[in-house]
Amino acid sequence: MRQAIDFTNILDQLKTDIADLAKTTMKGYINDAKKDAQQFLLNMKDKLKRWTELLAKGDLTTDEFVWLLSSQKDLVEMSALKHAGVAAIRIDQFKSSLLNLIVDTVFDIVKV
Amino acid sequence: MELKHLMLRLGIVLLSIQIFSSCKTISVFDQYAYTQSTALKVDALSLMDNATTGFTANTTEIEDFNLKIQKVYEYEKHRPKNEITVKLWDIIMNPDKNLLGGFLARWKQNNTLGKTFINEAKIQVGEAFDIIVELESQKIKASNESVSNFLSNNK
Repeated sequence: MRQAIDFTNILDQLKTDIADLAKTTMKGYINDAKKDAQQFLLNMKDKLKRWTELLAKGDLTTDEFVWLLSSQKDLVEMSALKHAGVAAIRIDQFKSSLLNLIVDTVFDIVKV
Repeated sequence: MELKHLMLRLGIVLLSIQIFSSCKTISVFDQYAYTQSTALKVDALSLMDNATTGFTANTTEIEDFNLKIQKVYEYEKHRPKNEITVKLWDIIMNPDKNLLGGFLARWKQNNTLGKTFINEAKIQVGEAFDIIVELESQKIKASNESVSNFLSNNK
């Protein structure tokens, strides 16, 4: 006769593993987003300095300077959209890992 | 490992892939979209260099480029769950904003543009293309990752 499946054991194991998986996924995403935002700000600071100097020297007109500032605003909007996209990718990766985790845990415990 | 066990696991992995693909949040990686976006970046920056010469003298090149970008835009628009990438293209191409579309509109309006301004605008437009390319490159590769994992775990 076949041994009964221990669902409590499966659920307990899954609870721990899913919590770990969620923690790792979120930590990775937050670290990447933070690094990306810092790099973006640093890059923006350099550009503002350069454009101001070019304006002062007369290499850029006021109109061109304003155009470039506005282009930076558009890049900020694009960067925010990219982060929303990366967050969605992480969610899909989490879902995929979750399915693998469930399959592996069930088979490890049940041993079909 | 027993064949029966192996087949059952494969069945479950394939079912998982099926479930996963039907509930995705964002489109998967697309090599064509990635290649086209990087190629368009090179074309766009090269075209912008011509803005020191008259807009009308560059009409053919500008029309050719617009046709290429429209084709890529249409392709992106019809990929499922690809709204974010389409929004990114909308911003780049919008003549009322200040990236590629705005640059071309300004070129048309002024007929020629200054070299310093072109160089700075190229940096901005280049970064805009990079955002699209970076997002695409981070998307999940549709190479049935789970099948690969399954096969490597059960050698």
